[in-house]
Amino acid sequence: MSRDLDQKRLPAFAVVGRVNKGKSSVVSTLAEDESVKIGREARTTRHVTAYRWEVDGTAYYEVMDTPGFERAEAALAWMRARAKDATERYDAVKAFLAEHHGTGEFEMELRLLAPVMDGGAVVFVADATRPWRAHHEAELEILKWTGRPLIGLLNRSDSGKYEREWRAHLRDWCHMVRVFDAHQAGFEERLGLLRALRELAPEAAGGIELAIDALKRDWQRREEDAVAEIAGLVISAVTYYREEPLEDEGELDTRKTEIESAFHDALRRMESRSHRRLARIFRHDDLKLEMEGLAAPALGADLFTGKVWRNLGLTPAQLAGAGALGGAAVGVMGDLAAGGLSFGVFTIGGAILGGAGGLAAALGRVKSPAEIVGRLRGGSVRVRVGPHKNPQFGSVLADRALLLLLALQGRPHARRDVLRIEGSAPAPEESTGVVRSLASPRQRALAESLARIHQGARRRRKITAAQRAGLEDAIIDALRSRTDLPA
Amino acid sequence: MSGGDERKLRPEDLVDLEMVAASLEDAGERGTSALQKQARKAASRSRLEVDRAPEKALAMMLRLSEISGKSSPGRRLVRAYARLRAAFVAVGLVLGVVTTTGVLVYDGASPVNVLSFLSVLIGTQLLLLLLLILGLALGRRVDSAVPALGWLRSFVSEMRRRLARRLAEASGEAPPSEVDLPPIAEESLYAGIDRWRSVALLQWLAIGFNVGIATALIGRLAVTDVVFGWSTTFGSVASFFPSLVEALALPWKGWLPAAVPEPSIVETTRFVRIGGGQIAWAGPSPSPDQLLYSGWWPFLLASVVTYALVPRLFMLALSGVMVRVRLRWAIAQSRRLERLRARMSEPLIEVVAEPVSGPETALEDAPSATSDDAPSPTAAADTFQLVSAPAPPKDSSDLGSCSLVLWGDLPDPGEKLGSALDAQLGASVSDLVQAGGLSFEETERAIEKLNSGAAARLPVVLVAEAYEAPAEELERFIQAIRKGGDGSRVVVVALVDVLETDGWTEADPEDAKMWNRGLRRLPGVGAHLLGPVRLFAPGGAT
Repeated sequence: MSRDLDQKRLPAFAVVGRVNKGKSSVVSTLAEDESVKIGREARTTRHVTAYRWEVDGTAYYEVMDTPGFERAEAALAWMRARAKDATERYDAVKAFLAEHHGTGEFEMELRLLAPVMDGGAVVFVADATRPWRAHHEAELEILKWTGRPLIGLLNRSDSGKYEREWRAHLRDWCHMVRVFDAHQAGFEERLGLLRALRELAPEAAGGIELAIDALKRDWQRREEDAVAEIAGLVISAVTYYREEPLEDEGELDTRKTEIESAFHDALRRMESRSHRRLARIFRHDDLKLEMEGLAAPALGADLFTGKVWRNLGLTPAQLAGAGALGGAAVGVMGDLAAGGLSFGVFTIGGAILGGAGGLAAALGRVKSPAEIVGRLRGGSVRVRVGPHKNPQFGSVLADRALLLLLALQGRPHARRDVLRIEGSAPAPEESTGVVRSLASPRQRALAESLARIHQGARRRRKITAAQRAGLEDAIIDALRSRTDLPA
Repeated sequence: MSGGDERKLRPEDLVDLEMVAASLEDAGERGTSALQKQARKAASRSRLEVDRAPEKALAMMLRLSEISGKSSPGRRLVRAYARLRAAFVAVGLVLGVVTTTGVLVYDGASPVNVLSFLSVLIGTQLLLLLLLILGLALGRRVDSAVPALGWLRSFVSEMRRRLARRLAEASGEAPPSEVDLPPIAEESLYAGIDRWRSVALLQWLAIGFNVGIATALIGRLAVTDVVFGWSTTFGSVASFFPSLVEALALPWKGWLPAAVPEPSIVETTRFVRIGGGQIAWAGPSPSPDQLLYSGWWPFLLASVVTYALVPRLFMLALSGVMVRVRLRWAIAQSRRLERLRARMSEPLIEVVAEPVSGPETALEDAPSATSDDAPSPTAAADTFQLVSAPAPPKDSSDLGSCSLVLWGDLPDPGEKLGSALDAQLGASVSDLVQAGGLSFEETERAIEKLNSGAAARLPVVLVAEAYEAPAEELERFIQAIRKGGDGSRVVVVALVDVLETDGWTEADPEDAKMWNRGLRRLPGVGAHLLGPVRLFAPGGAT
């Protein structure tokens, strides 16, 4: 229902349709609001709720979730009996509202028509995976009688015969017809729908335009926040270690598994917490994300299973390549210092050493072992587990987080099921990750910044702001190159 | 944090700002909007250009956050730092007094050696200062270059960590786990400042030390006679020393000549210890006046001030400048602070949900079923069951002759439907009506037909498309045809799904559950209202 804000009428869009056609789903996805109640049965939405879009506290337009039509045919019959010709139709709708007010009759129709008669543009939601039936004409006819601009929104569509059928019929009633699958729509689709609404209601065009700009900036900011979160996770996890004093060396044999498990559990908790934060950045606060038991190898398997390490992150060969480049860069300095008299021996040697080092480390263990690092007085020893020695670790973490991020970006808020990342690869042996599909320069940039973090961790030095910024840049570059790809 | 919106950022505020940023990162988008909204409003009110005045913007953000105030980690840190500074000055003062008293020990047998004074009390300090400068120039390797500095920084960092932990505990939060505080990980924004504050602490120690030297020197001179001379074994040092004194005195030669020993005094006050508590002067024996009132003690005092105290004051000022530089650098370089600042400059989008009061209605909202297992309010002994095809529903295996209602413009599939009803429900269709379609009059006519004459005694099979939720019109229809019968009419709701090829197929079980929940609201469920039946098995009649 339109309200006055700053002495101006607020443009409103009433989302209407028959029961159970996904009106609330459309609103939930559009508003990025998981709290909108969605259900299969009729009357999940019993009251009108206005979702007001505010930018910096100023409202620009509102979208209203309404109950579904339950007795459209009877309502139309009532109105037809009172409208002799087209000029009396609007009054017939008004009379319908006035006459049934407080009677208990046509309860849902009264509720959904009120905001429309109050001046809202109409978004008629239909399910285009099901056939058109003549009784839908009753709903559309009533809406037409209100005299408000009308857009037909095909929620769920398989682009088949039914969609063609629906489009053909809706064109008779609606000013425009659009497809918007509330359970699949991503950010671009949401913007597309807003643009359609802008066309539908010119009085709302300014506000919607401003909202679209703000949404774009907000989306970019959220993406950057997410990348910072991933970089933070990688740094925290790659540099993490635990130390414990033991009575004697023999105690390590009995407690080794326990100490190593505590270390790996801490890393898992770190990852899990970070994934929750990623979800919150994209307003999926109540997301059901179960790491265990998911089908796809990407997120389903435990962080420390060999399969995950085979499928995700940079490969040992890629890490060796990055190591070789790093070694060669150092070697070049030696050759330059020798004034070219060394004939590139330092460069070649550096590349071989760097590459071999990277390869050897990457072929190492998936889990970190506990090691004695100090002997104390009285025979007791100090045991340390971590930081993780394998240079692949950081890229595996980044890859898993990137996969989740991509899934979150494309996940509409109407979906309430458990998030599952279905790998596109036909066989689980193939990579389903992001980083292996990057172009070489991007892979190299990521590998190099991860190598710096690993080096810092090995020396137990704090990671500097510059190193973090380098990692963030590499990750955002990876993310944007991936999301730029055609679907 | 106190003061107005325009207050600049203090170095220790970085600690608090990092906590603000971390808490916002934890809170997610929804938890952030309140603070963001406040900050945006405040910035707008004071016409602050966030991108041009980042320090002020961050100060404003911090002031608005819950983390600011006297108990914030940053404020606690600065209080701890002030206490440390006082302690360092006191320790330096005591050390200075004790060391100087030791150097100035004079029992009348041999004079106090000026060379010892210069080397122990000034030379050592200059050496330490040089090491510190080298350490700072070496950057991160400063810890190994200046051991005490590394220790100090670790101490201050640990103190800050403990303060943060205490604050978390005091506010009722769970103490940060090891996951929150990994042993290493990232350098905090304050680390760069921490380094220079540690340098400043060392300077306070040195300043205390030098003030102690000066105090001890003047105090000793005031209460007793102290004779100064100089002595060395090396001839080269002896020949170089007068030039050294002259060079050292250069800075104050022009304006404080009394603190410049005359060459004759330098020459005459060289002594050699010859044993048995005796000394021999290298030149003619100096007079008592020359020994007591000569320029040595003013020279030594001026040397302490010029070569020990002033450099430390300079280093203190430099560390103060560097703290500001590092603060600005942190603000400019930190992505975390940049993101925090962006919260104040980026538009805040909110979608506010607000219930709209609709027209008053007489009917109460009907309770909605929430679970398949929830008992029906009207179900008696019989349970309204969802029966999957191909098993027939309870009590309906032999319906016999019945009326068939095709609901909601459902197309008539012809004979195939009849044979399916016969096979599955034992029903033979005697009459077929359409209802629930576009024409309301048709629905009314269907009710009239079903409730009149012999038809009123026949059971009714209502076939509907499963994906269309049972709406009020259907409920009214069912109630109407049950009222119209003799009260014991059996109504079976049968569900179908449609195929794009115009065929029918078995209803989706989830849709059937939805119908189950919807029909439970109706009275007489289970006794005479049966279903929903998923009418056709896959591969059945189409």
